[in-house]
Amino acid sequence: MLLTILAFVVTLGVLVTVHEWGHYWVARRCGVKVLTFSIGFGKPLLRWRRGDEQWQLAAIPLGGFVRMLDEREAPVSSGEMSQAFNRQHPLKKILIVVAGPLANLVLAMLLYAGLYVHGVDAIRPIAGQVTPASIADRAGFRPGDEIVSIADRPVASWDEAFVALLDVAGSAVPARVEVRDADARVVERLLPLAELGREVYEPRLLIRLGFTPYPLTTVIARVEPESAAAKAGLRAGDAIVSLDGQVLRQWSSLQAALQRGPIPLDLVVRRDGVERSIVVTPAAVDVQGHRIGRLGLEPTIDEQLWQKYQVRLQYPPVQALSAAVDKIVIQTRLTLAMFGRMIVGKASLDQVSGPLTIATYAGESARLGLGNFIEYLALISLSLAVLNLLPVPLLDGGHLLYHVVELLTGRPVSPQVEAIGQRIGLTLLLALMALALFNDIHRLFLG
Amino acid sequence: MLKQRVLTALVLIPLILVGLFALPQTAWIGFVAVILGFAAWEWQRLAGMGGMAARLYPVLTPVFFLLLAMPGLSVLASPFVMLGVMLAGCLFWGLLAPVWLKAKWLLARGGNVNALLGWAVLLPAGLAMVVLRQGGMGGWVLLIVMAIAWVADTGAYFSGKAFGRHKLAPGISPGKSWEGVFGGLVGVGIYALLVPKTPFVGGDAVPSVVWVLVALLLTALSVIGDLLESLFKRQIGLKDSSQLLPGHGGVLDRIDSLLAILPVAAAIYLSYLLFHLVPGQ
Repeated sequence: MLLTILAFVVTLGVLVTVHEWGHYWVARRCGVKVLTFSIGFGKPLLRWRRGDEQWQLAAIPLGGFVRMLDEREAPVSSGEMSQAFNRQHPLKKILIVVAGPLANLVLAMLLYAGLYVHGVDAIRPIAGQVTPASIADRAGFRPGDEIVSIADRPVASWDEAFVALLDVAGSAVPARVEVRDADARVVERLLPLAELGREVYEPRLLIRLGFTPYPLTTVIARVEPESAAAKAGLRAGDAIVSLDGQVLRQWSSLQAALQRGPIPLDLVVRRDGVERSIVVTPAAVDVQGHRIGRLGLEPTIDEQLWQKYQVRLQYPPVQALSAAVDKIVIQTRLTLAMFGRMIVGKASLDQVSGPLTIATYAGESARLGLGNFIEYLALISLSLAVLNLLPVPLLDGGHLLYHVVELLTGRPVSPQVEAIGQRIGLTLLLALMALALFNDIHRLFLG
Repeated sequence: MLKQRVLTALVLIPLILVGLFALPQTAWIGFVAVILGFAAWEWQRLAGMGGMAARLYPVLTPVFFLLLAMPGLSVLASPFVMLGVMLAGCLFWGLLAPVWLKAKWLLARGGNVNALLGWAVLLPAGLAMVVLRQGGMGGWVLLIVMAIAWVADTGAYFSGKAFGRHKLAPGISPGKSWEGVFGGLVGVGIYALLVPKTPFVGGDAVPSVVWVLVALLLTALSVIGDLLESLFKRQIGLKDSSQLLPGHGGVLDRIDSLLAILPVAAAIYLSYLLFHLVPGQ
């Protein structure tokens, strides 16, 4: 609990300070006078003065603000007019507004790059399984294939393979994939990525192509209590022999069947040398807006192979930076695509999380080690940047929108429009916060 | 004039190279959208469009293009639909354009309906610039295809200057001769033999004869694209489509032969990939 609170405070403290410092630094460079630099909202706990500026730590640690000289908030003496925010050219206003999210973005990039220089645990891009009849299977991929390059870009881990695949996903032209097969021969295969259709920016990309990184066996390791599998009488140690009358060679065949939806499955399992047939109806769950079946089973992993698949990657600084940029671009795309799916109702809203979930994960990642915590910090910093740039009034993105309109029309957005926007923004944000908090409580205390 | 021409080229060539080889695919799509925006602005002037439609056209065209080209947004996610668009481009340049050159219909008579004709000309070419750049070495693929137009131009220029006697289309472009066209064909034929084929997915498996034949077909199309734009300019008495590129004229002047070559090249490439190399998808 203490670690969780500490990790949460460090996370928010670092991210909020960096964000506000971005606004502050650029505002000062643009010649705007800063009145207050505050970490936290509400009642000041600790305050000190730096020249004309008041710096403070405030009670509610969920954000912060930089208050600048502004005629719309208080009268400004004629001598200080040129230092008032509202008197600046719209381009300068845009710079000041964007600087906060940008600072978070740069922080995320540096954290990722540092992590890559220090070294990350990764999984070699070896197909543990290839789902029968999948895109990868039809393209000729076999279990044990190690991917060497995708579309002429070398890859050393599944993470890198994912980045390279997203880069060419949606292409009408198939991607050339170089593979070192189980006999150590390097061959070229053509992966027709156009078959994925439109929804390419999603984390399940590898599964949809038919790749499973884990060398799974068809023996059940664990059955979730109360799950569909448990109710049907499946037990740990059962070896699944066949599925719907077909011999089950790979666990991924079962996963593929579940991806099609909650359809009843006809299984034959071997327990203590005796084969018995079991019919199980999977539970229905929504994953990323798709309705799929869920049994509550975990397969056994071939430990020997799995050991061989692990690798520790260390990058030279320049490559580390470029890998960090890749990571950020991809995370941003995934986040935006996710938002898009939520707005059109294709993804479930219970994936929205608030401060309590952030705190829990902050604590968990800190327990796993410094590396994990830093990666977590980078991810939250990035999400903060992306969220803040959404064109919602009250957020930085909303201000950005106003100033862009001002740049195009030549005069500031009228106070009435701004007030209406403010109200819409406030409603949206309060609703989002309520949803996040509700999900947090539901997940942590009831779920 | 020459100085201006060289200076513009010194800005344009690095810009194109950076676009082709340094940008990620999504940024490249934005890059192409900007080019299409300028081309659309020139088109609405050339085609005698007027009113709101003419003013919106240079903005609507890139937006429409982005909706079609961006992965994750595009309705053209299926390569077969994309191939369909390219085949429509083939129909335009292979059938309609030659007939138009013969009949010499007055473009401006179409008025604002020419917005659609402009899209038929610009969008397939823009999409082809996206499709041909896909895959790891797509930048090279697109450069190799575009260079066909440049090689054809150069071959035609020197051969026309040395041997030009028989006029190709005196009513449209008095400077062009049949000898020039043959010079262009010879130049492109040699180019097609020498150019590296590995950037094309499955390119090494195609015999040289086919490469040469396809390149010659594209050369013929580049002449048609060139002539059609000349006809449109002549109809309203313009020498250049605009002065956007100092010393070179307009964007359309630079890309007129590419507009014809690119959709046909993309249609051939996609057909080869979809029906020969990775069949049964």
